[in-house]
Amino acid sequence: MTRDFLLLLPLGIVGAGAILLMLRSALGKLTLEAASLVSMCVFALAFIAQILSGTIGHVSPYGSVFNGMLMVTDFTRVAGLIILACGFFTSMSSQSYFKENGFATVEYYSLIAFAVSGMLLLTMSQELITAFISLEIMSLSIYILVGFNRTCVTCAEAVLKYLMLGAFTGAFFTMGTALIYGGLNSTKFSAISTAIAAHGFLHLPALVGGAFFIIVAFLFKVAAFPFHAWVVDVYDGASVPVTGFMATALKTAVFAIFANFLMLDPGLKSAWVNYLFYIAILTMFGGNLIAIGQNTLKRMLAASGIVHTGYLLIALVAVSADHFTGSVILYYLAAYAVSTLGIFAALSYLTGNGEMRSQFDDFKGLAKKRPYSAAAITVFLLSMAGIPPTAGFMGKLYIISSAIQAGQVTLAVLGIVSSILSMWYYLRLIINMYFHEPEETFETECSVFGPVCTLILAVAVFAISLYPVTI
Amino acid sequence: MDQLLLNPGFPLLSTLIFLPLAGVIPLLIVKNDSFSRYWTLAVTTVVAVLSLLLITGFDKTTVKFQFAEYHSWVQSLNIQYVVGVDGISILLVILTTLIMPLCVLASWSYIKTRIPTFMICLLIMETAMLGVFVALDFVLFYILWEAMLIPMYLLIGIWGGPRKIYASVKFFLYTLAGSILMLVGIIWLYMANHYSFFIPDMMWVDYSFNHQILLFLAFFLAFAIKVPMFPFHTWLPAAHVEAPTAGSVILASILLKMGTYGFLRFALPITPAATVYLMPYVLWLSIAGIIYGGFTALAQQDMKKLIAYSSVGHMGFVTLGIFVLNIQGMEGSILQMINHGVTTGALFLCVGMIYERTHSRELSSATGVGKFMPVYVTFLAFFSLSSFGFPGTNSFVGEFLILAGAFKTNILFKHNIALGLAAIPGAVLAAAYMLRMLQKIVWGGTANPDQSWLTDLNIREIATLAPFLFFVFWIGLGPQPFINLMHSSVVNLLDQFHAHQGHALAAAELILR
Repeated sequence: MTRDFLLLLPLGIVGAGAILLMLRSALGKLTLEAASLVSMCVFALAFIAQILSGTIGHVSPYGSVFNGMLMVTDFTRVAGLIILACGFFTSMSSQSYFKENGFATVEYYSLIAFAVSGMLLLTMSQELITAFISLEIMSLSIYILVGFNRTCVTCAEAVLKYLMLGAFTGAFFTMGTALIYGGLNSTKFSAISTAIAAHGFLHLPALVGGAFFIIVAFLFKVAAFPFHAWVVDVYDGASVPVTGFMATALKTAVFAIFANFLMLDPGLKSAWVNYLFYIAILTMFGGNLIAIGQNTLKRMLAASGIVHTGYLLIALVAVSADHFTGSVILYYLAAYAVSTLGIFAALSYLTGNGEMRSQFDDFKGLAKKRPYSAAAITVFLLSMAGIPPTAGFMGKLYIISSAIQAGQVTLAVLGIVSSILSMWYYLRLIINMYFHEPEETFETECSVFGPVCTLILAVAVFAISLYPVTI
Repeated sequence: MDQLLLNPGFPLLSTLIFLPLAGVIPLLIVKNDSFSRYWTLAVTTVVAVLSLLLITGFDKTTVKFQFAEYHSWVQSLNIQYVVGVDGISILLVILTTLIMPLCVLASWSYIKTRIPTFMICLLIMETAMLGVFVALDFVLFYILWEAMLIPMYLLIGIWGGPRKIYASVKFFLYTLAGSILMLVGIIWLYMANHYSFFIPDMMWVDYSFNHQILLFLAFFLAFAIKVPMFPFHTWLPAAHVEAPTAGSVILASILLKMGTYGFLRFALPITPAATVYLMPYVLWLSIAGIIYGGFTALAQQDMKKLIAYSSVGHMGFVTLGIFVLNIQGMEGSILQMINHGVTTGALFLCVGMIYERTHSRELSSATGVGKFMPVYVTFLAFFSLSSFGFPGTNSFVGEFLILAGAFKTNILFKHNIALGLAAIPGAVLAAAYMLRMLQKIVWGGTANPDQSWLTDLNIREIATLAPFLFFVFWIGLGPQPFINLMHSSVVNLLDQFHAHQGHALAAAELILR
């Protein structure tokens, strides 16, 4: 029982922290700085609890109470760690961001904590209704976070697009759930798995249809082709720390449940492998084409997020459903999260009031005025591009190895070709920062948190590359 | 593991690799221009002196990797930190360590902005380059191979000439695109070798012929771009012309050698059958590079471009020597790698010294310099003579051995002398373009433009060039010590090669004849 408690403790801490922050904000006795500190503490505590709860194998906490709706494995545990770290660093960089942008309230931090609790639940859920509820806890919080700046028109556009399309996704997901329930009389993953094992995936039409709708919902959430169109506008409209949070934590959570669902049975996976193969290719190259055309940093990063989704889909195609550990996916997610959060942490204090520096050209000559920030951004960009010795390279190495191991040499080669294409737009920013003369002073009135956060993440890029922890 | 001769005592190779990297730290803290110059000179000099210990402790009789160090690094993937030198790599290591202090000296007054950053880039370059030559684990090798791109990219992009952005991006994307297919090859080898990245274990394994062909092509693209072999050379003139002097020297003297080193270290031992099968194509590409480089150099007005295209020709000789697959050709190639590093590096330094004075690299604006800079033209004349292989200079020995190897080759060619004959015009062309440059600079008219204000070399510049001249004559007059260093490793490489090519050779002859 103690162990079950420990396993759910991180979720409890984050949920309690979210409610606490929400209540305090209603009483109006908490300053913004204090709120960010509180939420950082909450995430740090939950992170430690998550580490201490070390498990081996599959545990269903309070199995009789929850009727097996939740399942904690090493995979979900590490995904939870990544999500909690994302929450921590987002709170940290938000603190600096809101020194220059004045639209935040304490609820902002509370919503981040709510989103994280939804994500944690999502990684653990082993049942479709639970998954739907946690997906919505996460999505609703993020809708509000995207539209938090009420005076800004692009934010309103972003939140409207996201909300509309997100609602469609939710509908797809429930449609799929209904179909599966209609066919199997159960929404539990274990029931689905038994049914496939007994009859074969393709002999269960309700399941085929249901899985289709559910996977479409997942593909939408991770912005895979052809469900990627929303991502550029939404990322562009959201404020910098929120964009970073969406790009990393949300992707981690959805990929965790996606992998859990797809690996239910080899039959399900093999039925989808061919489609995922083409989706992965189109996602990578479509994302690259979109990214090459962008002039705004955030839009470029959004489009590059699509490309990274493509790489993760390669990993998903390549993993074996028989002995699923997911370490490749998790390592790549961690590497991607560190570099993406890092660049958004740097942007959160460099963009300045009202995000006035948003174009590539606005960062000309940054290396002369702020050499350390420019160096950190370079490190993050190189990591996203997968240049050694950064974490992104190791992630790519894992993915390509697993693809070749699974016999998907075409995917491996195309993934590599795509990473060469992506150098083009990553280099553009490096060129602007280093090879041009500065046109302004890049003075910012940020707190120490943003730069410290950037520094930690820059060190982490090398640390998890040179000493990858065995999961 | 039995290919390693572990070094129980002082970890010399790791010290050489990581000392420059550690030397970066003070430069991050103290942002002082003259401190960073002296500090970087001190660090690179210490590394150069330490590297001489390699020669004194080197055992010329064994073919194992010496001074080896073996530590586990990433256990889950079976990646190790393994380094070691053998006869093929030791000369390149020494070349790298000796050239770096001279690069610092050459940048002393040439670089005027952001000097600490420049020195940091140089030091990181040194770490990565030394690492590439001694790495015996494929992941370590690949990491350092790619990591080299970034400081070089910054060297060209920040301190380069007017078209620096075009040149740096072209350099970066070209080399990245080449090496990235190598990664797929590396991972395939990793799978095929029981999940091990240990390079010596991958050699002489007799993979199936089709796999060898694919592997060879994956490696070939990476190395051929780095060398650069015709027709993959177009990044080189752009990068050379725009790079600052030290960047050009590093590119020409060391980076280009990594391609040919890659052929010797990986292509031959890992894919012997494919090498034999594809050898004729590589040889004719080399000949094309020699002739093409010569003719293009003849047409250049820009001195740096002239030397850059001459590099294409000289490196054609090196690949020619490697792929004739006999002892003369191969030893000549390794020697020629060193020679090209010495001679072309020095020529780039010479052009840089003129550029610092006249701010032009045009041949026409340097006419008649000889009258006012006698010391300078003395150096320039010797390096030019060396560049086209004048007897008594270093390149003569290398090119002579390579041509001897080309005439002697009997694999697939059956004592056909066409190959050797085809390479001869390259040597003549080299004389033509070098003498043309020399004639203009030394004896050209002094009136247009007026050169009388030019000052001759100062002590620092003489100190930069003198070591190069020393090696030009040492290798030219007494090459035996250098050949002795590599001899056993090369003989072993060829013996193993001939033992493993048999089957493939028969198949290849069947197809070709």
